[in-house]
Amino acid sequence: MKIIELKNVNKKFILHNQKGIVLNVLKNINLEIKTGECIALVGKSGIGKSTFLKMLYGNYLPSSGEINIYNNNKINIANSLEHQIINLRKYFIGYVSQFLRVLPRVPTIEIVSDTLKQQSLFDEHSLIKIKKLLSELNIQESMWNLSPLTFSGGEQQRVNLAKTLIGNYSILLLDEPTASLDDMNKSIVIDMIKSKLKKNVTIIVIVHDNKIRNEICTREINLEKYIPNDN
Amino acid sequence: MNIKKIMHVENLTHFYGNQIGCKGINFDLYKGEILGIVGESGSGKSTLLKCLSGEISPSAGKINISLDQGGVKDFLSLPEQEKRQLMRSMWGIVHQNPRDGLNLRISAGGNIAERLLNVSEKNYSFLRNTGKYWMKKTEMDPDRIDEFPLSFSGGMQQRLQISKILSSNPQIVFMDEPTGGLDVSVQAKILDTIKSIVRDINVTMIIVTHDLAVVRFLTDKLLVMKDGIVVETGLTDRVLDDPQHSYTQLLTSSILQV
Ligand SMILES: Nc1ncnc2c1ncn2[C@@H]1O[C@H](COP(=O)(O)OP(=O)(O)O)[C@@H](O)[C@H]1O
Ligand SMILES: [Mg+2]
Repeated sequence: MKIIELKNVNKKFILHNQKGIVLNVLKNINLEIKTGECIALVGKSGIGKSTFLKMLYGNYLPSSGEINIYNNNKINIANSLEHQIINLRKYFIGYVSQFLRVLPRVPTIEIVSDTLKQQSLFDEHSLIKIKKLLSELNIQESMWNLSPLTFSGGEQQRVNLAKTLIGNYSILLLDEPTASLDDMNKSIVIDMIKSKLKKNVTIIVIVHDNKIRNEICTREINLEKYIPNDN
Repeated sequence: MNIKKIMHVENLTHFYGNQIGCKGINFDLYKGEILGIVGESGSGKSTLLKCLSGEISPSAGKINISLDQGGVKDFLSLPEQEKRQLMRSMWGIVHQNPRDGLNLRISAGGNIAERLLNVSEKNYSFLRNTGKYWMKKTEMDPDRIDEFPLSFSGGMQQRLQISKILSSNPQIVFMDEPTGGLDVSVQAKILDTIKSIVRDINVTMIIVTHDLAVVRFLTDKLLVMKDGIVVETGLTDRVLDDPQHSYTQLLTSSILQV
């Protein structure tokens, strides 16, 4: 069953205050993604992989085209009311950005709890579940009550993952989720991604490591073919 | 999912003499949404907010409201009496200067009770308990319920004003630079408080600010204003991370510090 559909999607950036420079990034994207697929986005650095994910999350606006998300009905995320996108993000699409972005002073454990609260899934078992996940991701207990903003890059990335992986999303967008992790933590995260796939979650992931791609992904989308020819 | 539209604004325009206050404003506000209005000083943010909250009568345009009771109403053609009653009970306005929103001649508890009395709650112990509850919720010391506003610091006065407004569960809260007059460290703490309250209770809010950090922190969607008109609107993170209009790009790059 298709869960994501891009129709004639184009993305350019117009830098109005830099002499109106136009960056044509992606052109004529037409594709479908089915429930349960694990898609690897590939292409050289700067080609537009993060831009692609951000458009799927409604964080970047396509310059033209439709991005349809199918849950119970069809929602074109490129042209929807704000509260519809917010609702989709709450219950349906989770996004792990390349860098952690959280409010200052909020403790790690609350950041992770908040996802469940937003999904109305927080109950008396939740704290145990959250602590288990944080421990599995090797976030020490002594850090749970601290804001992650002072943590190392790898620790921040794992908190970022915990924040989204704790939730019950149908689609996960992962931007280089293992980039700053050591081998041990990498394989832990890969196992977590695999268990999401077993639950039929649809995943779109940017990952440079060929071995990881072969291990988890069912298909590659090479953005090379969407480079506008006038570049 | 069917969220109720509680405000529909069409072509709202206000002139001060020949001078544009705001012009051709259109937007919809849905229940539970937090709308930010950003722009430089003089861009028309406060004028727009005052038109929306009924403090000034706009020169032209339309505001339809649909509250919990009473169906859709044309706000601007309501009788003055009814408009004032709405503003007293169903609207909540948090002013930049807490002294504009507090009654300085009565106690902290009295200020909160005064507002609740407008929505017809008359039981003394209920009023007192609610007062204490909201003082706690806004991180004030509930034992200071009998003190007068002027005995509190500026930050605490702002917390008191927020308690006063939110305790009566208004259907729309309007805030104009709610942390504008305060020290940076106090600002951050008050924003934390507002954030935790809006996460707890499903308030609908319109907040005016020139501070993009506040906007990112608190709001769901944005109107970006320049010279009285809205130049860009959309989901907050979309507007800030992928701004389309040249002015929004200027605002979000560090070139223009508003
Ligand atoms: N918000 C933005 N404004 C302007 N240009 C952007 C923005 N985001 C990305 N770009 C540009 O889009 C292109 C693709 O970037 P990106 O999606 O980050 O590539 P990748 O993730 O494949 O490395 C780059 O030229 C980048 O500079
Ligand atoms: Mg990238």
